[in-house]
Amino acid sequence: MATLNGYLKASEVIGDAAQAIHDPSMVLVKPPTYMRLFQKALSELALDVPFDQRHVQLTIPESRKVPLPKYMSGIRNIYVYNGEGCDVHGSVRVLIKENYAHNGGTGSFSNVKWCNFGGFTQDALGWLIPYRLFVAGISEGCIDLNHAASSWENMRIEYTGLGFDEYCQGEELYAPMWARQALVDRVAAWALEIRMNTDGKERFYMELYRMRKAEHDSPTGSWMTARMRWAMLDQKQMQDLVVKMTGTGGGY
Amino acid sequence: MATATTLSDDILTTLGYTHDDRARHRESILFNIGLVASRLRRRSIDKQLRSGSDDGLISDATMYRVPLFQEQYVQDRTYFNLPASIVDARVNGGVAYIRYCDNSGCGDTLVGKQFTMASPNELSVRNGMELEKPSPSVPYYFRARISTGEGIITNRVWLVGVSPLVKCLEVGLYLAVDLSDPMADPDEQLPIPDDQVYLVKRMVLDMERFALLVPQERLSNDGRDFKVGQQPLQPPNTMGINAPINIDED
Repeated sequence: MATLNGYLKASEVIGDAAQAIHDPSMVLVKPPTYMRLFQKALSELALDVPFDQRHVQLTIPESRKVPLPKYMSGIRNIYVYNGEGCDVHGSVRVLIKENYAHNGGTGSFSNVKWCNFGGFTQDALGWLIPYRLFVAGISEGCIDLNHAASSWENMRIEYTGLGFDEYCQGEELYAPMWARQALVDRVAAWALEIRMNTDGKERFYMELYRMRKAEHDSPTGSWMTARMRWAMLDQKQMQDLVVKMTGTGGGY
Repeated sequence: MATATTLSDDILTTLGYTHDDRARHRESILFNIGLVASRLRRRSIDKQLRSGSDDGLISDATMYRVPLFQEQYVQDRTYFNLPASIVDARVNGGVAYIRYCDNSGCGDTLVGKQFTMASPNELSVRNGMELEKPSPSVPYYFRARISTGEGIITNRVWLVGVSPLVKCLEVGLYLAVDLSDPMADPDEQLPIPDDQVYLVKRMVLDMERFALLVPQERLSNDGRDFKVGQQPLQPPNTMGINAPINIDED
């Protein structure tokens, strides 16, 4: 999973969380449960910040209904392309159109049957419409590509990782270093919910729970700190933008 | 510090029973010591496991290497026999740990992996969660009696998720105080921590006092053997669960 260095093993986060809730031997909240909570926290983080980007490449069947892998979540981009080695110039982005579906023929079901001819933009730019517009809808676990995509062989889907437990069963989980404390706090809070149910010291553990939960909810808590750290990774792009705007007279 | 002889003699002396025809004897005192010591041990283990620091329990666990078997009566489910009687702790059933050991037939990556206690009902829930589903790398155990038609067997620990290729495991057990023969060796150290001898003595004295008061010699049960105005002797209150001795930090 790790595409960068600076990742921690799951046991580092789980061990921290177990000690934080006074359960160092993991007898009150059980080890597999800690692991599930860690996966849950990690998948939430992956949806909040796309630190774990993945892709899958699929062959488009004749029906243009492409079955999605069932673990997938957080789709960011879909491309169609030809050939084995994808030439970037040869790939085309697919636009998602909600409620679009078809039965494998040339017709389709959709809320708005938008006629691609005569659109203002397309006319003005002289684009060849609709042959260069590729639309897809997702229904019943399949991506339905419109008829215009018939000429393409393959599809590439980019998504954020860690969707469901099932996908992670065979995969070793790692935590990004910049989100270490955020994940510890999240796992600890959920584990405390379980511990409060099984133990009698509700008041003491409620205090601990509040502290850990505040780290997730508060704007200055560890969760938002982690997101802020992730956003800092984008500073080069912002600097580039500043240079461009300055160079073109846009000002700061 | 305390042997069966020294503690039982001390209690007998405290009660004033130093003569030959005393009403209470060393065997009965030792049996009560066993009862109290078992209870204190169970309570102590539960408290330490919940305290956030169970370091003190390491010396309490006894380590065994146990062979595994399959019971045909329940679809070849794997189990091992408890090599000794164990404390019925609520948190872990008296099992300090169960783990894969080397040369047992499990893969090298599994050696040292620990088992988790879960009831069969809980397991049916965990079956629906991918990361908690029983498997060789996420193994579980539970204790249950079994009736196979040839009597009820009570000393088994059942394993779920473990491969039938695994032949043995390493287990750590919190042993119960053995009540079967308290007089086996009266000069052997009692399995009671030194700091709990006081608690054992006090609780046994309470039990003895109660035992001595109950069998009053009554000639008839309608009160005709009592003088006018005579009240039957009331036994002392039994120790409540909220008595300070029961809720201290030990």
